[in-house]
Amino acid sequence: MSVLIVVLMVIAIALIFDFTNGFHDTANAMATSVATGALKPRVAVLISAVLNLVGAFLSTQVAKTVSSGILTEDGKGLPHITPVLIFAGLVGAVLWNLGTWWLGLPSSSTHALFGGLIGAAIIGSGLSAVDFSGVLSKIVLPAVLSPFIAGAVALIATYVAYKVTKLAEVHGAKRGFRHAQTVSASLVSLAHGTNDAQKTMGVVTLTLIVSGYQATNTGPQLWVILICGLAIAAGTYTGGWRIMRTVGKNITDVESPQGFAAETSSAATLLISSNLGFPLSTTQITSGAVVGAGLGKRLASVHWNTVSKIAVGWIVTLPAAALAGGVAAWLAGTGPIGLVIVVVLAIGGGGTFVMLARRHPVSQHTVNDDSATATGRPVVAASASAAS
Amino acid sequence: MSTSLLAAAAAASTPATGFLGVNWSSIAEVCIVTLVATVVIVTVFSVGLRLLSIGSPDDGGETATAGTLSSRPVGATLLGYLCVGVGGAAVLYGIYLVVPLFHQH
Repeated sequence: MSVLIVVLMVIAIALIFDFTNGFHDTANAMATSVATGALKPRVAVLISAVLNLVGAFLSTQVAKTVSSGILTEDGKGLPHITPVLIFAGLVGAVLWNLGTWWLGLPSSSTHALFGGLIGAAIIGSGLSAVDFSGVLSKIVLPAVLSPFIAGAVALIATYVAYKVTKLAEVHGAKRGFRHAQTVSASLVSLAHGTNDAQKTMGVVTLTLIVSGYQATNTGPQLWVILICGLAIAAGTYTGGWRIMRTVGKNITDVESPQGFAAETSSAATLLISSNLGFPLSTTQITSGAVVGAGLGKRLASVHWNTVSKIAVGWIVTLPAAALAGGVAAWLAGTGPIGLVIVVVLAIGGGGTFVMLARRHPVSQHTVNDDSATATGRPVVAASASAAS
Repeated sequence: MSTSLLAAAAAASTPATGFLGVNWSSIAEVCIVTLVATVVIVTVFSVGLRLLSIGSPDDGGETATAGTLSSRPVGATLLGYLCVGVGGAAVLYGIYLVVPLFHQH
């Protein structure tokens, strides 16, 4: 089988993953701005899409080290990894991302990506292909710490914002908070763009390197940067309304001072952690900040039912994507027919989630609906509010 | 300015890995710096909004006519804009941190 065909398949599935990454993570930055009415839904996703595209061009540092410390390296590169395994890992990541999107769960696309790759690597060449201490310190620990750090900071910030402005009753306070919220949310979007688009670039570059189309220790090529940036921006623009409703409306009903506090905390946590050399995870930061902002207002209700479902989703994401990636790697490893079966299953599985989502669509018009009246049954919060 | 304040702060702390191969002191540092930065920014911005509301129609129960706007004390208004400006400066510093071109040689 021609290496070129597999490489092209990897690039195709990588772009699909990048697209799902875009709409999956729009909610991270923009959910609170949409929920408070600071931005119209279409405007919010447009700003986020443009900033993600800009972010993709700003830096390629993350792309160069995407797998370092997680997949085992030797002097020359990654001895255990083949393009077929990368393809299988990406299939797992895409399927998990689509599944969590259908459920409206803000799970981490990065975890899905690494989960898929780890599963495929283990099946393809054994446990030694994965650096488990790296997985612990670079993926698990940041994910566990992020929501608590960002949540605690957002809680205090929200309390202060309400206290100083007399519950935002002073003249012009609500409008001021809405404007400020838009600005800090945009900063989160830009930071997201400089991180997540690069992860796909890194995977594509890795594939080109392991298949001999690119020299080792070189950065992503311009066309890779371009197509990855465009894919994540296009995904972002389609809007992950299902997840946005969960974050903006169903964790807690976000008001503008809370949105401002949450986005400022998210932006600060994101920028400070990555600049101090201990990068935390965006999804976990922003969701944690919304919970903190909910707690920071007196008598505000946080729907713990929704929060616990999100938390379960976070715990399951990496192993589930690893399982999917592992199964795909096992099938694809049996030969060309196995690879074709993986492609068919991936299209079938992905198509199923899209069809399921269409039965109860969440659009830009219903993104702010109260979950009790909304039709999106599978969206986590619909059942959360039914229970409370 | 070739290096950022944060990079300098990071360099100042000893990069020792401890329990579970994790640099716990850098985590503590992230927590403290994030908390202080966020609370300072949010507080200053909120105080700015409060100052800008002084003398506005809703404040002190005056009727909302165009004339009441002129009763805004100049000092509070200027200070208010200064506070909001601090928020703007924080955003600019944030962009500076996001874009590596700005702080790499």
